[in-house]
Amino acid sequence: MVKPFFNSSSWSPKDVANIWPVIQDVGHDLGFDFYDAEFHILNSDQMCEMYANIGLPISLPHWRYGREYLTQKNEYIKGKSGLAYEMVINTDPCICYLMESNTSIMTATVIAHASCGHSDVFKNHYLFNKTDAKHIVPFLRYSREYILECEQKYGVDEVENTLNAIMCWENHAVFKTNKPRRKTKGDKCNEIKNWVEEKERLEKLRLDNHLTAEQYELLKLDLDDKIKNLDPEEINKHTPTGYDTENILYFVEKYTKSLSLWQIELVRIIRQINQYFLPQIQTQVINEGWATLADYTIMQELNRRGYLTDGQYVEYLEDHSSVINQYLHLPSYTTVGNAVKGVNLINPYYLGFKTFWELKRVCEQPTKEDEEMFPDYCNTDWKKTLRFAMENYKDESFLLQYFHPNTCQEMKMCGIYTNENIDYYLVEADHSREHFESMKEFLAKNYLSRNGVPQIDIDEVTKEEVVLTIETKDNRDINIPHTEVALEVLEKILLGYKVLVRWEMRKLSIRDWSKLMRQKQEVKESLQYTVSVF
Amino acid sequence: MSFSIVDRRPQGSGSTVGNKKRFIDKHKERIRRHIDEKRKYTGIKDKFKKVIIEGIKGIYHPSENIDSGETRTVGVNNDIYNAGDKIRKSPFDQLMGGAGKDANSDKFHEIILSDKEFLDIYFENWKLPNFIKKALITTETTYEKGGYSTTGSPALLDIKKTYKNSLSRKMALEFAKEEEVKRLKKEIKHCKDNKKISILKKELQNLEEYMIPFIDDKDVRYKSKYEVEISEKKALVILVLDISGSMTDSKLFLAKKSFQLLYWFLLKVYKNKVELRFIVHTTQAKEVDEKEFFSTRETGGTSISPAFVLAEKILNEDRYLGYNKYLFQASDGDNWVGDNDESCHLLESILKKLQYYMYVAINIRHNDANNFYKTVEDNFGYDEKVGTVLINDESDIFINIKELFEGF
Repeated sequence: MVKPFFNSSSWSPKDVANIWPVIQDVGHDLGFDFYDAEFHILNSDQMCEMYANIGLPISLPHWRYGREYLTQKNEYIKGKSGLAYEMVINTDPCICYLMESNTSIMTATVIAHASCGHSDVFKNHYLFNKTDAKHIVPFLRYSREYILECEQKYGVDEVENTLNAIMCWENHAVFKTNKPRRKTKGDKCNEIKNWVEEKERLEKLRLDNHLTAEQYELLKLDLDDKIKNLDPEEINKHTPTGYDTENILYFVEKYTKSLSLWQIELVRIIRQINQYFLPQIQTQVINEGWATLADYTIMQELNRRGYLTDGQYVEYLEDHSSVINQYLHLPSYTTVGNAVKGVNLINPYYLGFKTFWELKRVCEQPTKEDEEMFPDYCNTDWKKTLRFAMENYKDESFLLQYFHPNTCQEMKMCGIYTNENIDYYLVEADHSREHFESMKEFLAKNYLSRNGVPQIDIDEVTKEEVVLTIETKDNRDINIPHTEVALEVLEKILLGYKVLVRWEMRKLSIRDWSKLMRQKQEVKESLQYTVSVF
Repeated sequence: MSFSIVDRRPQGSGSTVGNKKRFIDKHKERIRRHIDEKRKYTGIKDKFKKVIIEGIKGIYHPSENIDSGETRTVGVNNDIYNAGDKIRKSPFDQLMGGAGKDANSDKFHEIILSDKEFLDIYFENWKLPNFIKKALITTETTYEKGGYSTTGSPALLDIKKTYKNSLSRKMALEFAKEEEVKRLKKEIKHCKDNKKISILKKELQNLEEYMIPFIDDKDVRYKSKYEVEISEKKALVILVLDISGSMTDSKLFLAKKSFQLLYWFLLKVYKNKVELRFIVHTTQAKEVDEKEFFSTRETGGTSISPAFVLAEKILNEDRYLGYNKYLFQASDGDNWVGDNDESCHLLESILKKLQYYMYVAINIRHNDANNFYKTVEDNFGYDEKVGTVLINDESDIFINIKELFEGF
């Protein structure tokens, strides 16, 4: 005889021990595959602290985590932001934090959501496979002790200054793609060197009569074409960096002249931590959608088997609908008015869950339109298709592939474009079927990359100079004071190299570059004109 | 599959105390300045604990200006517009940065200090005077059970530990003995010289007859004790307040404010170790509790000696034997004629038991020769244990009292 889990809305750690094996079995039956679980029970103050550490149980000894804790606590006390019901991190075994002030149904939901849903994504997604889930907590422990040791040996101030300097460049400290994005001049010269050797080898083969004259001429033409830009002086000047042009801290780690060993170790620590967090930023919609799907199906099954009474199931449905709330009951001018000011109103829980749910419907009961749009997924096993969708895509490619026009219509989406020279907002796409493709692309671009981070690459490296290129997206202006300070910090770290910025075939020092940028912005402001349509 | 549940609630909050402290230390100058400004309002209100820090120099990321260039946002629930429509911008629209909010570039930042942190900086260098001296003179120690020693009387023999030691010794020696026996036997086998064989055989026989003793002198252990210092310092502080008719509303206000300051100071530094007793007097003295102390008011004449009598009675109580004792008094100096001498006598006898006596004189009239303040100054002015403070205004309170306490 199966008994319901809970009698009242209060719960204790014993209840968790009772329900987790059952939820595990149900999860496996429904096709989810997740790590072992570890539950930590906290009160609300401790939850604030966990926020500041981004969920990890150990934090590095640095003041910025103290400041984030204070900000979070202030906002919570004033009511500006609420605390999340759950927090889960990507480790093996998966650590899930439960708040003691939740009701018992909420706790069961959280357990299903986090330890079955999120854990599944952490275990099987292609980006998360590259992160080291088992060793992150020992790594943090090691790095914390290392920093404290360094403080004892070399002084608190020096360590703090080093860490401040390194953290300025933490947004440019990750490897994002497998293929190299650009090649520095040193790498191009390296390739040219290889081709020169290839040419010599060809000549040797010709002399030994392994090649006919025609073959030799053809191959020689090809190589000559590639070698013609050769400048023998430049080859020896530039150092090849092996195609790591985006990862500036990696460059610092390998090619620095002046940092001592312990500082290089700190650079490596910060780099590894940011590399660990990278997939979580790139897969928010998939993560939340899959986890909501997990807890939705698991709670339904639990009710069917008798572990939850009908009343408790209804309570769960209420919670569920408030989690995936998309404010569709508000009047139109509020939501569009907010969007126009740049507030992002899209709830990733709603978007992810609805995308997966529509995909499930397409698999089981496709309409004629679905057969035209998604021919590969009609009449297939929904579990396999959804798993494939979860495991192999990032946010924007996921939306480009699987976003359904029905969801678009339910949300009544619109895409709004503006720039600083015009005095109106242009609605580029709306939720009709004709504009669906452009709306989909508009939405996917939203999740493409982080807003506000310029693209900085390393262009040339010689024995004395490092040349960077700085590009912004969408014609934005660079925030000159901050970038200038960050570049000067980089120069201090790379003592021995001069840091220059490339601008239209010229190489400018930091001061000249910032002067030029300021002039340009002043010119732009003075010429501000608005195109008026009204 | 295994799982584990960790209940972290009893651990309490404070895992980020280190980092929070680092952040506050970094801006200590700013916080100190802020608190200095608040000192002129005596009394500690909650709103004083909020500090706004501007211009944080910390981490600067290279970033873009979000409100420049093109922006594309996705709106929902759009009932009104079609593709291709244009919406007029209003001059009051301000672009709020969405995902690109860079917390590091906040122009200002608000901190709310906790009670403890606030008081730490408020009373930065203060200490109760002569506090440590007495504790040093009489360090009391007790003995607690624990540990083992190798000497003692047979009644203190610890059998378990002795037996453990003997077992381990026996095992080690038997093992060694076995190895020796094996080695000798091997040698005898491979040896060809008859003389040597006989010598070796004798050795072997001796070894096999040797019995390992059951208990050795070195194994024996006795239970022992060790000394522990009682390091708790305890203090008793008596506060005496004059609430007679001569104390007008404003004077009473000042007196209460200065006592509030002292009360906060004692709470912060000597939290659990200070006992406070409150005495209120007009022509008669009576003991009250904290609430009444800060809120009552009576009329009548003034005489100080009953207060001292009551104070002495409290000081003589049995349970305050090892304590450091202090007396803080506030009044405006008015006293019944002829009472000054008796008060002086009483004060002399009390002073022998006290570590420190402080008199806070509020708005005294300097022409009055009968003033208690003058008596104190005349007789005890050069005494180490006595301190006096003159207060005329609210802003004087903190400065003058601080001078007294900081020197220690």
